[in-house]
Amino acid sequence: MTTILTIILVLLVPFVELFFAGARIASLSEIRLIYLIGLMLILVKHPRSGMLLVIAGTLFVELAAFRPVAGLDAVAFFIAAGITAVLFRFSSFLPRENTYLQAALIFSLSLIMRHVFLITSGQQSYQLEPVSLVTNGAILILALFIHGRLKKPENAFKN
Amino acid sequence: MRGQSFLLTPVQIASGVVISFLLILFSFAGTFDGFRVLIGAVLAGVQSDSTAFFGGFADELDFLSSLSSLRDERDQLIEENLALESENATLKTQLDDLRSVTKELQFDLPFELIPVRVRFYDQARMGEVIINKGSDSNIAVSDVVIVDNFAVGEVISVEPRSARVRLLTSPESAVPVKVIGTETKGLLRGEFGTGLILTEVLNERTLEKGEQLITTGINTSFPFGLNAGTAGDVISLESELTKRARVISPVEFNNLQRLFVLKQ
Repeated sequence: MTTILTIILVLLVPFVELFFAGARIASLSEIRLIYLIGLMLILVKHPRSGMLLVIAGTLFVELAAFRPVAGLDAVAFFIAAGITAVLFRFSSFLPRENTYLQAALIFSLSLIMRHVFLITSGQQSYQLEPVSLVTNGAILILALFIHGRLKKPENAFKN
Repeated sequence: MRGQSFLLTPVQIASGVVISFLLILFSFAGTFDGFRVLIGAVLAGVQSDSTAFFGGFADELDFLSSLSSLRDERDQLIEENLALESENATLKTQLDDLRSVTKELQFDLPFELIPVRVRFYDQARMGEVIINKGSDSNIAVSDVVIVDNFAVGEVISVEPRSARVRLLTSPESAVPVKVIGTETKGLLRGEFGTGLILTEVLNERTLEKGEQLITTGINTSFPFGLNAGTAGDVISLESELTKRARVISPVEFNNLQRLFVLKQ
């Protein structure tokens, strides 16, 4: 089931993104990070493959969407992942076993980093518009729900 | 941690950041231009279809949201119609004068027109679109794009099978224009990627609402005589040397589909 869903996400999501990128409704074209959250599902089990897919997937969409600079989405993702790792490593109150919180932090920080990069490089970003925030929030909740459904139940009696 | 958490190791994060920055450097160096062309060619159909689909979708939304205001508009239109009928009688007498003026609209050079379709609206670059033809179809940088004799934009970069067009509504666009029949000149600039504004008009020059603007053909790739719209509300301050005006264009810049590229 996980493998099938992974293949669907890897192949389908870039095309969904490309379809919406042709919209004149700016907020709809800002859902690229759905791809990242989908790939996080793979990161849990296969971090190296997940990383490569984050890089390749975002690069593919950036090239196909005629972005003048490619690689910004991947940088945003890895910096967000780094900040999140540091936060969890050095804080005493953030529960390391809470993958939902980790994913939410990586996703939100990725959005913010991408927004900053786009603005800094002289491009437009609609990431912080209300409709974009609601859309991305809904995507995050959906992705976490799928992640929760896929996660195997833990054995309470296991040491 | 592996297999139980989203947290990556420092080595994985560092390598991800390094690879990403390398991608950006390669991107600036043009390494991906070949891939861009290949992906663009494969996905051209999908992008054209989505642009057309969302064009129709936006029209439907606009129609639904404007139902309540249609009645008010109808009443207003009836009043305007009466005024227009009387104005029409006056205009007929001025037709001969206008014929001589419209000679200004004739191009000063013979042009070849290349029909193109809008393939993509770049949301990250306000006021820029990608068209479905490029250098393979003899389209080059600085070629001018028109629709129905109205200036639309200028080609700013080309690839073999696509080209990027900066529309007049782009904040980075500045096109010299003049008022037909007078010596009033100014710069036509984009405003927020959707509107047009006429700037740098000397205060001593006359500029009335409704006057028609054409391109001057001077210091620009736009040839003389392309329609650029009509002057709207004029904003003039005595404390300033220049005045400006909103520009009304019949071209729907946010819903372009079929265009023509001028080849000189």
